[in-house]
Amino acid sequence: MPLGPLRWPRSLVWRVFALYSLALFGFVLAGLVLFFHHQFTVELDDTHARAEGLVAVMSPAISDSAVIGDYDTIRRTLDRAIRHSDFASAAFIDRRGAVVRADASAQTGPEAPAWLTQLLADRLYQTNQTISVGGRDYGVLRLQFAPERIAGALWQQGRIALLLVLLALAGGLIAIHVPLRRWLGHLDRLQAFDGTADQGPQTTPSTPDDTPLELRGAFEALNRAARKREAALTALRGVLEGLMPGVVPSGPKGHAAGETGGERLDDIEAISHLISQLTLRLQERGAQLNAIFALSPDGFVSFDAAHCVNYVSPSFTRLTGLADAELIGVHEQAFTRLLCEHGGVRAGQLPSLAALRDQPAQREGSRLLVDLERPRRRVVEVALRTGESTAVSQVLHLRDVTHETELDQMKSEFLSTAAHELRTPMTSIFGFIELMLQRPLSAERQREVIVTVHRHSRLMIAIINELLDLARIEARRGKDFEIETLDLGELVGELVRDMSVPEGRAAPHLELPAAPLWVAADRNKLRQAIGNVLGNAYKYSPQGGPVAVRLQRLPGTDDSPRAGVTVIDSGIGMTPEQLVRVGERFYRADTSGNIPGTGLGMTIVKEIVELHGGQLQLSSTAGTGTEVLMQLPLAPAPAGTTAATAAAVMALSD
Amino acid sequence: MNRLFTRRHCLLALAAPAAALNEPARAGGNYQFSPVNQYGIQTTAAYWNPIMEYVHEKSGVRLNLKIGRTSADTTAFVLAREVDFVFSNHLFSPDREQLGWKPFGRRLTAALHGQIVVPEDSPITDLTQLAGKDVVFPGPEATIAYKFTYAHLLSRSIDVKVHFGGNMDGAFAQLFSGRAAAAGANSQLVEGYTKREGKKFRVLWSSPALHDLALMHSAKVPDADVKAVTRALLGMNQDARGREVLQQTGKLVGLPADWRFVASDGSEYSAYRDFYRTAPAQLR
Repeated sequence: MPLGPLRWPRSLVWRVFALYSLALFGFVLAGLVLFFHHQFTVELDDTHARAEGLVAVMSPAISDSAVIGDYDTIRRTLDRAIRHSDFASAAFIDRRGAVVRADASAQTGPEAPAWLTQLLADRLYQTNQTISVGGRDYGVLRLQFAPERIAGALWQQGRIALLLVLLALAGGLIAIHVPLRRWLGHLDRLQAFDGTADQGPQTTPSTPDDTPLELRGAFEALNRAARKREAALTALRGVLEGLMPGVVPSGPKGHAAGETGGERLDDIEAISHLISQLTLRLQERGAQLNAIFALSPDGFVSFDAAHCVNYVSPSFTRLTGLADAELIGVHEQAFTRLLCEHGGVRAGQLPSLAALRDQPAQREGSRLLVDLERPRRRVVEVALRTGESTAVSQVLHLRDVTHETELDQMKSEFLSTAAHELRTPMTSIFGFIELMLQRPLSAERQREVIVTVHRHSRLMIAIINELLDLARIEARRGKDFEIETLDLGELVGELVRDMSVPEGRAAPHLELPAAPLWVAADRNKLRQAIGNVLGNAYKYSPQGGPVAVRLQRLPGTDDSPRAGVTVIDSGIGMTPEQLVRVGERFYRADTSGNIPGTGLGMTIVKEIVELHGGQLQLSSTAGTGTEVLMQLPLAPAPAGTTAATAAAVMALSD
Repeated sequence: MNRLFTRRHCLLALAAPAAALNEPARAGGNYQFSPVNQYGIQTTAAYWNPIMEYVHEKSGVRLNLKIGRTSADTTAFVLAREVDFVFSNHLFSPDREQLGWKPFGRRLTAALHGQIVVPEDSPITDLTQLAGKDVVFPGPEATIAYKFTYAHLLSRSIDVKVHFGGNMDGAFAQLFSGRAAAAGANSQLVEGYTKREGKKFRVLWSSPALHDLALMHSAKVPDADVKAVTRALLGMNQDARGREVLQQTGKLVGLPADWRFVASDGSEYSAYRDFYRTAPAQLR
């Protein structure tokens, strides 16, 4: 099973103690092994040296005895030599092979392990000495070692050494453990640093006198770090206060507004939380601004302190066709040039931004309008706002005022046209009245003049009435209509019957459906609209010709049934160009002036039909006639209609 | 590899004496062979064991290696009649020649010399400077390294303090440790030690040329076995396996690459016999 990683004690004292113990044990063990190896080697050498020494001592006596053949003396010499020695035996072997041997007594010393005895036996060699005298060899003196005795002595030494080592080890561990606990066991004093550091930078925790030099340095470093931390927190609080006024309390022990109790602002985590909140707010604010700029129809371009573009809103790109990639980083002069070139702005129409910036007074109350030719023809209002921020020094604001300008233009044209239309009869009235004032007229002539003045006055009144009518319709947008469910066939029939056709002209040919067509409409407005169309049919067919009115049920574009009133004449008709302008105020297809009219009738018709949810459709051919179709949405039959009528309506609806 | 090889064969060498102690020469080709311990027990065993294995492979005669702790042990084994073959030059004294040992081969190497050497950086440059100083020799039985050299010192009346290192390597160790000022040595072992250990010597004196040690057998070994062993040893250089063994073992002790065994009838050792006739009495 694989061993897991070494788990050191969590306590510093025990960790140091464990490290010391391991190191001490390792060194002692290594020392013991080296000692024993040394002893083993030395013992081997000493044993051999003792053998050689003994042989050297014995050789003269053995030699003398061998020369005279005194083998008893040799035996005694051998006995004495090996008594109480490391040798198992001593022998003299003469040239004939005879052996005189002395064996040592049995071992009485400590027993050694077999492995140690064998180790020694493998390394001990018998000692031989040739016994020669005067160039003649008498034999060999041989000493045989007793490895078990030498091993026993070595083993005894080893055990004593081991015992001493264990004692020294235990003593050393105790000796290191006590001072370790004394010197390192009070490191919980570091907590005092944490507490005093919380009280502010003015409070400096004291370092105990018995603190080791290394830890004293650490304590002082902690103190310095606490002061730096407090200074950094103070600076950070200042920054946060600037960014989030009111959120950050001034004191070092304050609490962040909106935070739970006990959450300290001088805690790094709390400040980090505040910063993350601030970042979140900034991100939200940025997202809001981006959304506003993205959704705003107005275009914005901001410039940095160096007057270079640093933001382009999507609407600006839409209005001008200039993408932000083309403009970011561009200086305002180049920006103006790009805008003029790309937008087709006439020369001189857009002044430089520097000029706009330097002449704020002249721009007050006036608008700078610039005509853009590309990407489409627009009129934009240009404004430059300057600021004090280093990030945004000025903002160029473009607003699309094309529609507004067109409306103003239309109003102007309308007023001009209306005035022109009113001036024509007024001029006649004024001329004839002035004629009557300057000279007396005959009664007949006076009557003719008064009739003319009356006719022009009536025209003016008609114009004014229709103008007022149109203005009211446009202003009220149908809110003053008196809507009722009425049978359109009945209304058209009444209208045709009540209509006074021009002299010599036939009444309109009327085609009505068998069943009633119910519509929700203002009866009078609808009569006015259909009457205007019928009047135009007669007016614009001066050479005569039939006029027809047809009422029918139409399927409608969205499958909802509609009622259609079609007025058909055989008059002068209109060209396609004239046809598209029908409905414009004071526009008249007849430019000869022979056909009286205000030019407001079809405008009113169009307004009334559309305010009823309907649609006006014209088709015409110049010289052939015109066909005007007024479509109106059908309405449910009102309650109280007869069953037959209801059935007819249901049938129409299906 | 060499280290393992050396240890394994060393164990063989150490185990053999215990098994074969006091066994007489026996039939069946199982004999005790004791070379003079020239290089120390382990190196000597590593040198001879492959050769003995080769002899057994070739001749069927098993020679069990029996090495003593000192170079004198081989002579003791001879006198105690415990060995049958030796590689020695200790048996050419008149008395020992009567033991009946006969040379049948010798190691063919460059001529040997008894030398008195000092370390190359020693201040001693002349033999006379050795007077009164410690001089180490392999052992009292070392013919070339001790008897020839010490005899010369005696003949020059240079009185030195004699010490024995047990074998040649032991003597060199004492020389280079500073315990001895000079060493009596065998020139072949001086060269081998220089090759093996990188130690350099200064030779103060060299004896006349001598032949390398002799392969000898006792009189009790049957002729057939002697001849078989002789053929195997003398034919080593003519056999690929033998040449490989010669190269490996020669490299181990610093012998020339072309060393081999050659036949000998003992006549090559007349210089040794002459020495014993003229040597001081204490060295005979």
